[in-house]
Amino acid sequence: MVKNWFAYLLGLGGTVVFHIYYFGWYSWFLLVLALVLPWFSLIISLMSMLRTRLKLEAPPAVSCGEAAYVTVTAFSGFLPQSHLRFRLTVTAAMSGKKTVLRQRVQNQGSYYVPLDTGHCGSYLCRVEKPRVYDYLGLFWIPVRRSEAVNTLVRPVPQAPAKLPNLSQFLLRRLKPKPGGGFSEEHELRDYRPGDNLRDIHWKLSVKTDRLIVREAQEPVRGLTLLTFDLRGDEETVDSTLSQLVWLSQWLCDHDTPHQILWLDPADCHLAGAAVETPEALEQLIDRLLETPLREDTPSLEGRSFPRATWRCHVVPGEEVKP
Amino acid sequence: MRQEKMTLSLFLMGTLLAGLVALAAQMCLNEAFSLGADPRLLITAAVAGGLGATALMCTRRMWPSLAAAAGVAAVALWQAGTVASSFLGILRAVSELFAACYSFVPVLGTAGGNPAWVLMLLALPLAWVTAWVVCREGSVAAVFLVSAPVLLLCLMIVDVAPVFWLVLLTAVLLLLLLTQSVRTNSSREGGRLSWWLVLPTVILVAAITVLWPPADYVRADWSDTLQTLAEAKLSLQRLGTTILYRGPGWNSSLKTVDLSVVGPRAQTGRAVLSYSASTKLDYLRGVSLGVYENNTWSAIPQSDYTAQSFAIQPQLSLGLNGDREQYLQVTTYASLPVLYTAYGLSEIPDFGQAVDDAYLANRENRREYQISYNVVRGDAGDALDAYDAFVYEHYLQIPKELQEPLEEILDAAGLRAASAAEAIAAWVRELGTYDLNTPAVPAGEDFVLYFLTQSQRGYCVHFASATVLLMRALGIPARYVTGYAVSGAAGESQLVTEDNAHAWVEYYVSGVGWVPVDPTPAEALTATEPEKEEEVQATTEPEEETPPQEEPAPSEEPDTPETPGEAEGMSGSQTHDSSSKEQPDLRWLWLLTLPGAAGLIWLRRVLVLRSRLERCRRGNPNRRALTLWRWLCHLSKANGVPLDESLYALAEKARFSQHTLTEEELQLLQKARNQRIEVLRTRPWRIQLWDRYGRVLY
Repeated sequence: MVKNWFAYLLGLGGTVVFHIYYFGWYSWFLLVLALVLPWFSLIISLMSMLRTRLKLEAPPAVSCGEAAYVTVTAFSGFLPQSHLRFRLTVTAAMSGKKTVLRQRVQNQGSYYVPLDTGHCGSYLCRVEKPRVYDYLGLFWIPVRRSEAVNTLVRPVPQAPAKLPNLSQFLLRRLKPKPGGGFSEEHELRDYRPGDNLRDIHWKLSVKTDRLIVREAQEPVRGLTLLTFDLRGDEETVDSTLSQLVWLSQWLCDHDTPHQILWLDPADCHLAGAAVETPEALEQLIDRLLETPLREDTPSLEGRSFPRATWRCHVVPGEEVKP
Repeated sequence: MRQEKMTLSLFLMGTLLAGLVALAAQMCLNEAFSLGADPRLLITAAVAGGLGATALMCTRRMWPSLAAAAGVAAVALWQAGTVASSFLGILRAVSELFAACYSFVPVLGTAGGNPAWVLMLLALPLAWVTAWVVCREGSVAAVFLVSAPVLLLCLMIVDVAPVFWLVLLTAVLLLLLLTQSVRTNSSREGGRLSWWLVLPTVILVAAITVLWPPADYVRADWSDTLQTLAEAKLSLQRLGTTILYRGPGWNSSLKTVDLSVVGPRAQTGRAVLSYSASTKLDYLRGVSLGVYENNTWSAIPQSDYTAQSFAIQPQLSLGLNGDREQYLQVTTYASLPVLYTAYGLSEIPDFGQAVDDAYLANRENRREYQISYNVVRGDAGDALDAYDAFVYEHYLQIPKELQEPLEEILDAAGLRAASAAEAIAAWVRELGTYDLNTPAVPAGEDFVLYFLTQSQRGYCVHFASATVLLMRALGIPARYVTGYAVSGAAGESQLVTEDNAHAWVEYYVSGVGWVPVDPTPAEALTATEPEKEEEVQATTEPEEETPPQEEPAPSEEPDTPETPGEAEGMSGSQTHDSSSKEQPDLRWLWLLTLPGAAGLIWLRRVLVLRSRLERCRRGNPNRRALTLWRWLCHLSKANGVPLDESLYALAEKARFSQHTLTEEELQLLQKARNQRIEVLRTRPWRIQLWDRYGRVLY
C-alpha cells in the first residue's frame, strides 16, 4: 500500500508540475482527475470490498506426515475482487509455536496453504488482519474474520525398537468365574464337594463313571498399564506417542483393556484414561494432542505401580522398559 | 505472463479499448493539424485494427502477430508511393503549424497525399498494444508509452489540442489503470471489471468536462503564482504555445486571422522580444489586414498592391518631414518573419521589405535590428495622392450582408452626425465590456455583428474588428492592425511577451496617412502588479530588467488622434472583475460531497462506537448496564425481536434499585447483546451496512 501511495503521489506531483508549466485546459483536467482519482477508486471498489468474505477450511484430522492443506476461499460476489491481504497464523497447541504466513490474493477463488504435518499435534489455523484494498491499492477496509479451524495431526503407530514381553497377552488365560453362572468358556473337572449340582455335566459323568463338573471360566484381567512422559521436543513427543499408539492398539486388538497414565503438564498430577476400544484410544490421543507441554514436567519412569499386573513405560526412541 | 482462455466478454472489451485508443490517436492528429483525412476511413481502420488485434490475442503464440505485421508492411511497401506522399503531406501540415510557433522549426514535407494512409497504419500498432495489455495482462504503461508521442504532438500547440479525443484517450487509460491490479492476475477478471467500470469512468470524465468546460477555461491566478515561484527556482519556459496572439503569426500565412476560433484568451507569459526606444512607445506595429469576409481578416490581395506604384512608401507617411529622428532597437528571441516598428518610420530599413501594404518582412531573418522613426509627424502633402485612391478603393470593403445592419447601428447610435473616427472608437469602447473569457462566436453568426448586437463582450480583437467595420460604413477607410501594446520608460530595455499581443485600428486621413486608434476600453488596461513584474523578470535574460508595465502616456505627436493612454497588456488576468476573482469556486464542493459525507458517516460510527464500548466496559456497573440496555433496545428494533423480560428487569434494577448489579448480571446483558449482534451479522450486506453505519452501530 505504501508503494501504491508513493506511485500515486508521484503521479500527482507530475500532474501538478505539468499544470504549472502547461497553460492549456488539458493540464487542469489531468490535475482534477488526479485529485479525484483515489476517491473515485474507493467508491467504485466499495461494493466489491464490502462483499468480500474469507472462509477457512482444513481437514479435521490427518496422520503425521500426510499432506494437508488449509483452504482459504475468498469471494466477493459478482464483482471481481480486488487485492486482499491477510495473515494466516498456525498455532501448535502442544508446543505453543506460532507460524505466521502473510498471504496475498488477487482474485476470487480458493487458495491452498500447505500445513506442516511433520509433527503431531493440534494446529489451530486462524486468519488475522484480513484487509481488502480498493482497485488502486490505496485504501483498505477490514474483512469479516472467518472461524478458526483446527487440524489434528495424529501420530502414526510405530512399533517400538524392542518390544516388551507381550506373550501373556497372546494367550487368553482363563480362571474360574466366581459364583459360576453363564459363560462362554467352560472347563471340565472332577466334582469337588461344595460344587453346585447344576454344574455337573451328567452326560459326561455317565460316560466316564465320574462326576464331571462344568466350571465357568472368565479371562484373567489384571491391571495392564501403559505409562509415558508427555514432555520433550517435537521429535520426542512424536516418538512417544507413536509407540504408545502402537502398543495400545496392539493391546486392544488382543482384547486387553488397559490404562494409560501420564503426568498432566498443566498441574503435574497423574492423569489417566482407560482404553478398551480403538475409539477410546483415538479420543485419548486427540486429548493429548491438545495438551500444552511444559519443559519441567516430571517423568513417570521411576514410579512404581504395585497394583499393575503388567506395566510398560514408553520411552521415546529407546528400548521399552517393562 | 499467464494466458487465459479468451472469453467473449474479454474479446469485446479488448476490441472496444483497442479501437478507441486507435481512433482517439488518429483523430487527435487529424483534428489538431487539420489533416483532412476522412473520418469514416479512420473509424473503419480503428475498428478493424481493434478486431484484428484482439483476434490475434486469442492464440498463444507470437507468430500470428508477426505474420500480420509482415502483411501490413508488405501492403505498405506495395503502396509505398501513396504512403510516402501521405507521410510527407502530414509532415508538411505538422511542420507548418510548428513553424508558425517556433521559428527554428523548418517546414518539411510536401503538400498533398491522403493522410488517411499513414493514420490508418498508425492505428494498427496502437490497437495491438492495447489488445495485448487487455488480453495478456499487460501494464497500462505500455499503452501510455505508445500513445505519448501522439499526445505530445497534439498538446504542444495549445490552441489546436483536440479536447474531445484527448479526453477519450485519457478515459481509456484511466480505465486500464483502474483495472490493472485485477487484470495482471487474470485478464478475464480484468475484462469483466472493465465492463463494470466503463459507465463510472465515463461519468467521471464527463463530470469534470462539464464542471470545467474547455471553452470557458481560464488559468487560475494560483497557477500563475505557482509558476512564478517554480520558475524562480527552475527557469523553464512554459510548455506548449499558442498560435493565436503571437504577433502576426496568426497562422502560417501571416496574412489571415480566423475570428471564428477566437475564444477565451490564455496567458502564456512567453517572451517574444525586448526593445529599447529613445521615446516612450505605445505600440510595436506588426501586420495590418484590410479584407473582412466570413469572419476572417486577410491582407489586401498581393496583386492589387504590387500593381501600384506610389510616390512614397505608405509606411513612411507618418514619419515624413519629421525633425526629431528617434531610434528603436529590437531584439527578438527567435527569428520572426515580421519587423516590429514604431509609428512614424523615417525609412524602410535595408533588411526589410514592404509586403502587400500589410507588414515589413524581415528579409534577412534578423534577430536584432534598429529602426529609425520620427516622433513629430510632418505633412505628406501630395505625396499620398495616388495612395489615397488605392486606400479608398480597398479599405472601405464591407461584406454585403453586413452593410445594412451596420447602417442601422450607426443610425441608432447617432454616429452619422459625429462622422469622426474617434467618436466611433469611443462609442465602441463604451458599448462593450472587456472580457478575456469571451467564448468563440457561435457557429453561423458574424463575429462583428454578434459583438455589436448580442454579446457586447470581448477583448481587443472584438473591439478593433467592430470599429473598423463601423468606420468603413461611415466611409472612413480603416484597417485591422496587430502587434504589441507596450509601455515602459524611454531608453530602457523592455520585455514584450505573447500576453502583450494586441489589436487596434488604423484609419486613413488623406494627406496624413494611417493613424492608429485603440477602441479597447481603458479599464481593461492594467497596471503591472509586482508579481507580474517578477514573472516577467523571471522569464527574461539576466541582463534585461523588466520595468513595470505602466500605463503608457499618450502619443507625443500633436496630430495623432488620441489613443487610449493606457497600453493594454494581455497579462489580463488581473483585468478580471475583482468580484469574480473573489468568488470561491464552488464546483469543487460537488466532487467532495460524496467522499466527505462518507467520511463523516464513518467517523461518526467510529467515535460513537468507541465511546459506547468504553461506557460498557468501565465505570459504575449500573451505568454500564443501562448503556448495554440502550444498545439492546437499538438492536431489538433492528431485528424486530423483543427483549426478554429478564433483561428488562435487570435494566430496571440498574435504574431504580439501590443495589449495584453484579458482574454476572452484567454478563447476561453482554451476552444478550452479543447474541443479537451475531443475528444481525447474518443479514444481507445491504441491511448490514445500514445497521452498522446508520441505525444501530455495531
